Amino acid sequence: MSYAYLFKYIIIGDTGVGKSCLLLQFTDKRFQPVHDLTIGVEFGARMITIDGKQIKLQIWDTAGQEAFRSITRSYYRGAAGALLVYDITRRETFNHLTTWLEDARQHSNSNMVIMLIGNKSDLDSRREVKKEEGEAFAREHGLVFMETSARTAANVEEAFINTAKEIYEKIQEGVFDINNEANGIKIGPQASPTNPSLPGSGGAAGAANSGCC
Amino acid sequence: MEPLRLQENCFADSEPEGELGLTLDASGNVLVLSIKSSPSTSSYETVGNEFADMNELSQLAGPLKPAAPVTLNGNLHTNEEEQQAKSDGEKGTEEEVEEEEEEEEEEEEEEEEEPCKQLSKFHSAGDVRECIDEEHPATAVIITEAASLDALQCEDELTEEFTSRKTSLMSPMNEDITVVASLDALQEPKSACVSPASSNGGVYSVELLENFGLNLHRIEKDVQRCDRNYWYFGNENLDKLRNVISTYVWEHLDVGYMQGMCDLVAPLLVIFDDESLSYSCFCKLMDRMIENFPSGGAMDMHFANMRSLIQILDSEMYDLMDSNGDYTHFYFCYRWFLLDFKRELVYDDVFATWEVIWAAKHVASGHFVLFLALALLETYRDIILSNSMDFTDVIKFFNEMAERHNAQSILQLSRSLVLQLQTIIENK
Repeated sequence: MSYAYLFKYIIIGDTGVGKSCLLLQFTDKRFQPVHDLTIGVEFGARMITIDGKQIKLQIWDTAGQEAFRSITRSYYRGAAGALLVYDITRRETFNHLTTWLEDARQHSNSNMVIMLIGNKSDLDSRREVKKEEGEAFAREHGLVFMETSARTAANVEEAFINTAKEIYEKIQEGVFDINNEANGIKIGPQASPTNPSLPGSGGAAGAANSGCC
Repeated sequence: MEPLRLQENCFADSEPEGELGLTLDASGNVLVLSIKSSPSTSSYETVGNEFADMNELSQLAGPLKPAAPVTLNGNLHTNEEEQQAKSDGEKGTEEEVEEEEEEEEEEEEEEEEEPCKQLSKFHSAGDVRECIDEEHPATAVIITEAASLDALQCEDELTEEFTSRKTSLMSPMNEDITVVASLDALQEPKSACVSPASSNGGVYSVELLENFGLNLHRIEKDVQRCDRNYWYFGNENLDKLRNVISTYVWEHLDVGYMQGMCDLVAPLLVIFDDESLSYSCFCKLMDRMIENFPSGGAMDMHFANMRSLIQILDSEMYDLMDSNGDYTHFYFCYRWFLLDFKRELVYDDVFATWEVIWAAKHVASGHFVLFLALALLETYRDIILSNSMDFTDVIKFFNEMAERHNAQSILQLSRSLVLQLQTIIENK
């Protein structure tokens, strides 16, 4: 399927907060109560529509353990959006947000949109972090905030799509240099504004090359 | 001269004085390749030592088969341990009583309870010592060194635990084993372990115990999600998995628990179905694998070697990679090397592949994993080339192909890739 833009995302946060489950819920619309722990980097993609335009989200799912932070860092580069996830039932995952954020800001491009996500909202009885605390942290650091549940799918679509909307707005405002792939944005084969007439990359050929998401 | 230069690139980091030799068997197609290396001072010298014990064990146990009956209670211990055990064994009975007393001193702190349970459990696995009883030559005695935990922290619950553990160890398979506790470790350090914790016993700092507690917490979480779809890993066997890893971490607190360890223990446990045996083998395995984890330097070297090998053996692939700058980091094979391909293959194929990797060190190359990785890549070269896949595509492709590879054909290809490289070097 052809797309207007491709946005590259990275999902970060402590181990066991539900990064892979969020991704699986978003890409496959299913929940796996016990997910294999992520080694290295895993990967998902899905097409969404914003403002009538097809946008392909390419999402990199990373390992959460501190020891692997150096590997995660190499994926910040070239990401347009980041989902920074904590677990509302485990206070320590919230406490570590600051270091995650520092890491993300330091190794990514300055325009990267960061969405703060408090996951496992279905486990309200075991909640250790109030929603207000998440909101306050997000306000303080200029992040978008949302509580999600990968189990019930609550807010999962919204989290990924709202992040994409933010990125899209930044493109409209001219904040992102969309011709620089290091920003995590790629112009789709069909609607390349810089080469609108490039024959090989658009039209029928692009549409025929489907099945890549 | 060109190939030679490349070859030097390829192994420069790892085998500076490597010497390559090739023997063909009678039929001329099967290779016995040896890449001998003189004693190396690089961080890779560990590669050359691994699995000495492992191989002995597999010879004893025959070809690895899931849950193959394991009959070698005493064989896995070092001589040093055995001698130690002989002298310790006699003291056993009285010390057993002593330990139970110690254990009764446990107190309320819930946080500490879990580590304590772990300790008592896994020390029976970690510190197995053989004891030759004069009257019952076949009797083996396991000595747990209770002193290695802060004895003040553990009591009532453990007495029960201790008893039940004794019972469980008296199961048919281990009927010769009696559990005896030893507190003499304080006077007589036995473990050669460098860990600040180790099993020598002693009173440990709060920091150390907290550090270990944190590790146990992480292990617990990850064990719960290790291969849950595989038949072997029901709750009981997950306990074994946890005990093996907890023991390793206790003995290597400087290393600590790192994600990926579960994947490396799991196949060993499935084969041996025995905590202590799996633990010993895992320790041996980690001698080599530890370097692949982020704290070691092997991964970057693997990537660099892969790059060189591709340059030599598949220039078309190399050109594609070169045109995608991203390929400088071969992250698509990160997991391959970190876990010795464990996640890429189904269990039966993991067993076969690991055996080949271990055997290859003795008959071909300690770097056989490189050729396996290369074979995996080359198996799909036409797909990769015809789609001009970039770094991202390749990662995605191999993630989706996990457990769907034809392991035998990949092993075959990796053998012939060794031969190819060998031929290139010979014809320099």
